[in-house]
Amino acid sequence: MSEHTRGLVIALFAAVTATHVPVGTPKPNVYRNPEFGIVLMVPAGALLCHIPADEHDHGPYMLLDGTSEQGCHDLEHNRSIDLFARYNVTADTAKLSEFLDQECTGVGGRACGLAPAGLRVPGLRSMAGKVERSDGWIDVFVVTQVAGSNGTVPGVNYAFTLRTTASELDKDLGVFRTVLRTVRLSPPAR
Amino acid sequence: MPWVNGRFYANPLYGRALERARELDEGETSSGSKVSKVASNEGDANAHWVTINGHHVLIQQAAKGSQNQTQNGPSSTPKAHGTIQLSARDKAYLDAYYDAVSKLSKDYDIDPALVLGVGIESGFGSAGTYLRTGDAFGMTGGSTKHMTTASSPEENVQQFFDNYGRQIRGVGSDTTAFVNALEGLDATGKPVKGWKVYNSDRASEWRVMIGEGIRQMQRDIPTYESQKKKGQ
Repeated sequence: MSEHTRGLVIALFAAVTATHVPVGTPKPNVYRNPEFGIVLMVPAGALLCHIPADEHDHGPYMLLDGTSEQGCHDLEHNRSIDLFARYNVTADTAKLSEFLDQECTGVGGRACGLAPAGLRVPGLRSMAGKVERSDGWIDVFVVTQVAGSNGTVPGVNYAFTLRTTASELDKDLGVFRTVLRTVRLSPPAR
Repeated sequence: MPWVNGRFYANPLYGRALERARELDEGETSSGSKVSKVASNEGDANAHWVTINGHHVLIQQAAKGSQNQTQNGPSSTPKAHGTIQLSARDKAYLDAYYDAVSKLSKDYDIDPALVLGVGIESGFGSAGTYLRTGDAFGMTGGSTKHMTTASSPEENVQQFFDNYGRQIRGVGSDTTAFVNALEGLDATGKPVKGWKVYNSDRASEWRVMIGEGIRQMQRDIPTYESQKKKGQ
């Protein structure tokens, strides 16, 4: 091998290697949903679930103690954070308080109790409630609404749910607050 | 089957009352005797008044001991609070989808309000992927490989029944059985092998949403039908 060829091989090897060596911190895991205008950085330690490809994507959901996605198929019995978006087009959710009631009774199975203090989506009017479910799990709900940009575009209802246990509540609330603080909600105009 | 004058009503008593209101609408210039006839029931202890399309209508309660089928019945049926204002969005959606859904719903023995309620997936045909695909029922997945495209509401309704018709056949106006069926479950909530599942991982949230959509359509449809009959 000539000196020139050897140099070329070394340069090529160096170039290939450089592209595979991690530099600095890994890129954050970011979930995006153009339809409902959601951008969410997945918190460290949370496992983002993959939405089945043939189903309508209503927003991200993630496991708080999962190492495999198996738990994504049983959110009722796994510590998780869920952001479910839907259009605000019914009288049932015209008011934010009614929307919260729908979540507590419909998802949690009971009327809303007092939520931990300070749970809100910055910059948006929010309400929060807590349900201690009959099966022992705890649901903490935070709801917010973004209005449509004009008369023809419907607004969007966003329901954040933390599902956890009494023993993990304080720890998981920290992650939940991070999600609420960092999420960006901006439904597109038509 | 709760069909009254060729229309499906989840609540037959309500349906009969609404049809009576329609009759009053049609005969407004010479309906004195009809109004008197309704008013003559005022003293019935098993009846109560509701206002439908501006008319006060008496709804007879079911006999004592039998199931109460008035508007104060199951929570899945919206209460009648007089004439409901139909939004332009909901009217446009019903203009596009009502006839097609009603036609196939009759074949499948199902309350059309249940099927129309699934349109909440697209903001009742006003937003989201519907604007690109023509699919109002949220049957379009997150990838182009799973896109449901329809060139007309009729085609879209046919797609819905092609996908889920055999699962929802015969549920009538049973909202729980309908949502169960869309989730691949039988009426008692047990999974049925081979059935499609509308939303596999987030059943609770999805059910709440679909319930809202159904109740909205149950509120809208009587007003829509009345307006349609008047040619508005």
